[in-house]
Amino acid sequence: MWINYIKTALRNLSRNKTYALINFFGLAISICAVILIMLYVRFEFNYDDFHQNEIYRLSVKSFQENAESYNSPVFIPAIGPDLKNELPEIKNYTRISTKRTEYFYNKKDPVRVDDLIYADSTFFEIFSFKLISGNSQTALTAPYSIILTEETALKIFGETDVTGRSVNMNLKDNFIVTGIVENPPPNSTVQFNALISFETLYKEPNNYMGWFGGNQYITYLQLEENVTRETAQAKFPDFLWEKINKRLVDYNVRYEVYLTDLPSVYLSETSYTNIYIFTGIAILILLIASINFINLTTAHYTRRAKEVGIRKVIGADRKTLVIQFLSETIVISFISLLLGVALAALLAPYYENIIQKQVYLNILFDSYVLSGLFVLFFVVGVIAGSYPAFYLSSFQASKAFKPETVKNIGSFSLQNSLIIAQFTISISLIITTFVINDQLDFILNKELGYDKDKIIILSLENESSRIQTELIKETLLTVPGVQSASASTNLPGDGFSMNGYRLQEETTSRLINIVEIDDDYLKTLDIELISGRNYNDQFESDKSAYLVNKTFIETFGLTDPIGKIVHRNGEHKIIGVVEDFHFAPLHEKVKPLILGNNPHLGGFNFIALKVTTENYSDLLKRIEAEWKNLNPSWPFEYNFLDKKFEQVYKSEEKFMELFFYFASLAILIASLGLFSLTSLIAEQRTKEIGIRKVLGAGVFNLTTLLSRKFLILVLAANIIAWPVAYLFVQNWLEDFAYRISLDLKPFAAAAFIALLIAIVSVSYRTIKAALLNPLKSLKYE
Amino acid sequence: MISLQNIEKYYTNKFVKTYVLRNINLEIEEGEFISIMGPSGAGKSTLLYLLGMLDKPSDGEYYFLDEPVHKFNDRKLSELHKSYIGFVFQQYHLIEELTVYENLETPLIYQKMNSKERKARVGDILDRFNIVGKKDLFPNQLSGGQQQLVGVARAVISEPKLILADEPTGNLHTDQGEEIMKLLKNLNEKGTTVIQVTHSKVNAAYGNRIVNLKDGWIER
Ligand SMILES: Nc1ncnc2c1ncn2[C@@H]1O[C@H](COP(=O)(O)OP(=O)(O)O)[C@@H](O)[C@H]1O
Ligand SMILES: [Mg+2]
Repeated sequence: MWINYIKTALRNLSRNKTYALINFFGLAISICAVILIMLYVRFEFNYDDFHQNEIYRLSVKSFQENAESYNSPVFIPAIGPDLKNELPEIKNYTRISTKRTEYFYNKKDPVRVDDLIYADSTFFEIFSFKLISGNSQTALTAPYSIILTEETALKIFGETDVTGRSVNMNLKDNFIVTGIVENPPPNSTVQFNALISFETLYKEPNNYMGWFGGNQYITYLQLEENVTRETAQAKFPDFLWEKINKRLVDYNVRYEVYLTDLPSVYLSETSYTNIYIFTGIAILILLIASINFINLTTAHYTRRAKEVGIRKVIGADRKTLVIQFLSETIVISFISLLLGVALAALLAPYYENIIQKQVYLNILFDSYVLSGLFVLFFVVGVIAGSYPAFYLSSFQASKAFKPETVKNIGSFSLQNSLIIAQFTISISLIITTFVINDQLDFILNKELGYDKDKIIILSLENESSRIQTELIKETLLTVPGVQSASASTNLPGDGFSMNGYRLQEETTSRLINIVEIDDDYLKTLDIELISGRNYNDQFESDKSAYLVNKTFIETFGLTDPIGKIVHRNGEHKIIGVVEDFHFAPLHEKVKPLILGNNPHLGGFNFIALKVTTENYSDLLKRIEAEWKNLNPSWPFEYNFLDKKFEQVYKSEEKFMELFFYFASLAILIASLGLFSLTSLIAEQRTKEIGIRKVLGAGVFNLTTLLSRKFLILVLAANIIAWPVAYLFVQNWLEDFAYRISLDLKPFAAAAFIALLIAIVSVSYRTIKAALLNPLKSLKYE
Repeated sequence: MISLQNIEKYYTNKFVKTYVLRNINLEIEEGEFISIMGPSGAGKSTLLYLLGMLDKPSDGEYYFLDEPVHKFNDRKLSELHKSYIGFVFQQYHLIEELTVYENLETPLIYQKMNSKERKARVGDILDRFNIVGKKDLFPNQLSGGQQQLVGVARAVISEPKLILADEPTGNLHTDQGEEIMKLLKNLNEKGTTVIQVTHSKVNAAYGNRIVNLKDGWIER
């Protein structure tokens, strides 16, 4: 019996190749998209799931006059050890530093290592990172111990068997390699290329290792058994009061700390928005493909009414027929499933490249996921098949043989509503794509208040270079093509750091963004001075002066800002005001900013060069030559300000790219469905078209006759899609401080595109049918 | 074998009853060969479907082998239909996706016959109808006469007691038609009851009784 069903099913499919291909193709693609999106979501939800221990990360909130001003896991180094010593609830702790970039010298040339972190000796007790060689108990105990990943070892030494060897960092201290560690998995929040023992930090006299200062460390804790996060956290306020808060009362500053369990750390910091959006798209794509499946199956089965009649006459009962038709759609669904899985496997590497995350394809072959997928497509098959199966099998044989009684199921209202649903989804996706694109364009082209073009950024990686910026500037200005040069602690793009400052009359201090600059900064970046004067590096007194931005004076209501005093480690006089510029990402409004003239101990971090040409390669060679002339041991690291700027919006661009792909896919599947549906309908109406032609109808006439219904449906879909899409994009835009105002354009464009797609997919077949020789189409019956 | 008593059939469209069959009373003995004649639209096909239990009368009583068919539900009707009745159509109505062999096999599958027995039966009938060479062809690869031959073969393969044929030769040339009529006659002579619808006096002569239908009434 089954063989008979499957034979009929397969022969039916091969007789109707367009129908079969579109069903397979549409379903397979949608399954592929669903799988890829599932992999992404799964990746996001399985961060840090490889650690054996229950680990908590400590975060700090600081309050200024009871307003939260800072919330971050980065805090001072003393809290970890003191917590363990004083609270019995705390079993163990390990601290890591924020990521550093350092230079290592094995042979002559410096080797740059990014993502280097300092870590306590308990690092491997708490985390489940794996050592390839070395003793996990002792490798991070002694000062000046370093553990490398294999890649880093290869970079520095050219080999990986280097445990016990010594290496110099920054032409200063020698370190002993005490182990080789596996790369942290991509779904780990803690990422590193090298680990240095935390003890090393205590050897450095300039490091603050107590409760005041040294805000550079993240503390991870393990709690004693039977201690919940809540009971541990309940002890924190008193503890903090004794350690730090009671001394800050006068400043009206207060700290609070709290714990986050490690698996949820990542998700607590990522916005769920993207996960929601892509899960939503996956569901919509699946929906569109299922609708195709249902519509095509239904339209197609009207042609099989006769078969139902025959089978009934020769002894099939209703149940048998229902099973037959359902098994056909389930077979299609399963074949598509296999195709979709294969397609996903094939596309996974490209996809990883787009989302910049590793997807673990092998989770597909996990029995849960597999059975889940199978159930899903069993259900899709049953749903797609059940309407035609139950409807057709209810036919009396006598009816089934009369095409005119069967024909009208092709135009029943279910089909219409499904087409409307499909196009509503497609149109909403088109509108959203347009709006996302417009918003991104808007951000990337917004007037920034500074000129990011033709700026080369050189990093001052070496301490001796940081305090010789005057010499470096002078030297580089002699290179033809370099127009101006400026030293600073930071350049606009991804935001500046904050410090506490107190204004003239006020009693409490506030956190304000700060950048230290020289007197060429405004000129080099083309930032406008709107009142007062710029620094003059010749005036020693300017070292303690401040420039501020416009938002600063507006926020603090300074009508006559020049000469006003700001307190921090002494008095600072405001000597000038600059126009606002976007030093932080455009997600937020410009905040108050102080531009100081006195970098701390370490000196400046960057030299920015305004150059006259965009032909960088020659210019960079000349700059590098001069640089090496100054000091051959200084690493030559450069970047471009406009690149740095684009980097900030990379995740948005990735989002846009991915959204575009998935939206296009959805629309493609929907239009394929419409195309084959009209093909089927045109085919069913071949006789009618023939008769009308004989009666004198023209091609235009016939095309309109056949496509009018679909165009009306697409218009109806527009009416539903517009408000839905409007609400969605409005909501999405709200995350941006600077955003486009919605106008009719994306909506009108989407409507136009949808109609165009509908017209193209409908008219191809209808015109073909209308052009057919009427004699042929009449004979066809 | 068959007894129709006061059978009525009407279709209701917008609350208007359109009668197709009126007050049909008909007794048919086992082994008869009956020809139903009448103008187009008289209700001949409808009567045949009723007799074949593929449609239900609106009113009246239908006894088949003394069973009250008019009281049966769909499942029982289908059961009775597939064990006792074979159908032959003017348009042949073969399943186009299946080969000759598979078309013949399908009724047996619906009767839940095991595959060995099916093979034997299909082989037997292919032999009897002289179509062994055609068994792997699809219907559209056959001539009309050959298709109808398969149609008759399919109708008799489950050894029904009653064969209903709706204008079986309507689409065929005279000599092809004659072959089919001889076949039916032959089956009748071996004990199968045959009821055919026909427009042709010649074909009607193969039977032993003629029922004339006009506007849904049986003419006496
Ligand atoms: N499903 C139906 N609904 C309404 N009228 C029907 C239906 N089936 C048949 N009829 C009508 O019943 C009448 C008899 O049809 P039929 O039995 O096919 O006639 P015959 O086979 O004698 O030519 C015709 O007028 C036909 O239009
Ligand atoms: Mg008829």
